Amino acid sequence: MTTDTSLAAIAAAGQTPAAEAAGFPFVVIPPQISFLTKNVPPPSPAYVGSQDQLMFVVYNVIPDQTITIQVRMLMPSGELKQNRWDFPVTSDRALNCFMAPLAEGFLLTMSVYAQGGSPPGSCYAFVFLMAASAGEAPIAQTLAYGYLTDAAGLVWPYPRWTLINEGPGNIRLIQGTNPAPQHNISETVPTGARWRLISVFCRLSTSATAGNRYVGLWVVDPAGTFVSIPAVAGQPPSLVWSYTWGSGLAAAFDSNWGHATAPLPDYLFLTSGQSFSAFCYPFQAADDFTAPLYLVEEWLVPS
Amino acid sequence: MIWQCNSCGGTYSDTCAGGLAYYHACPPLTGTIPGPLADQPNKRDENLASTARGTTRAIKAEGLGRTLAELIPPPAPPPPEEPGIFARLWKTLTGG
Repeated sequence: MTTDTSLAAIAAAGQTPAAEAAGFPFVVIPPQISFLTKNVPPPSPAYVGSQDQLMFVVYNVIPDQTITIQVRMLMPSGELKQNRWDFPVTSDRALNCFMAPLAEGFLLTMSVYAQGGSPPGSCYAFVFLMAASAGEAPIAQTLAYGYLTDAAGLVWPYPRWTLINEGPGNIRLIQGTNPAPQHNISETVPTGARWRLISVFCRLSTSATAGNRYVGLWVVDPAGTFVSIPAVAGQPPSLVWSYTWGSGLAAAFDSNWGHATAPLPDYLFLTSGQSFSAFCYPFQAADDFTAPLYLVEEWLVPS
Repeated sequence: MIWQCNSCGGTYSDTCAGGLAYYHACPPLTGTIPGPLADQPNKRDENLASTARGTTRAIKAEGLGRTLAELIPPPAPPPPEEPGIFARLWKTLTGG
């Protein structure tokens, strides 16, 4: 069997292979590229100076979360070095920033992952290479950014770029504030979060004061109410009714169970500071809402 | 812990399921429909004023404060959390 090596040897010797002698045209082109076996440059575009650092910016909502970063570097001596940092981060969606000093050399690989469970939409990280000599524009290179999830962290090179409002979010079932009697329900999107409101559930108990009460859901921006979805039936005195607003639900009322449903827009996105409110009109003394239970899909959005 | 807001009288837990924080904000005053939503006097809003770097992590509005309504005893230790794939891989490799 003829191998590439033997073909090259034949070409170098000016001979023709046996196949050409048998009538097949056969041309051997010697390789134009050769490779060094000494003083080989590293396969990395990230040269790191002695004053350069890695900067990590993390937004997180998971309590007791720790971010781990590992890097592998080729030192000027030819030695491979591996380093690891663990950074605890806050869970209030606020900016966490860490610097990791590097020695001079070539950054070969980097990986970032969350130690605790981290569903999509709950822990987001940026990694930058910072050039110490660059003055007011110190970011030399963006290495990676994206959500750290149970299934995938961030890697460099060949990162998976994901914007902070991209992809699936964190599905959360939240119990809100139980309002005092004769107070409406109101829940506000936290600072640094973005919600898609999926469903809202609450109960209203009415006092013996005569007259029907009418319940609805308002979605509110500081500039004013921009969605209003009333329930289809008025609630008489001295009863406890349940109310559900949800994506895909029909506007309906079941008199046997005292349960009213109403639709929500499929893509009802709310930003920080916006809120929704289950309201009752007219409120009578001792009318009382329970704490709402609501389902949202959440992303982190720095503000 | 269960808190009662001194501004609106609402009660709430400061921790959601999964340990995530809950931030209370008072509801607007009860009004007419579709009347304007007026904030109640001394509204309390526990959301952070900003998440930007260099800002103090103060809440938006203190209002009249809050009162501890119920001290929930610390929950039983949760079952060991299933670590992410990288943490599992790391533990496998290091035996940690």
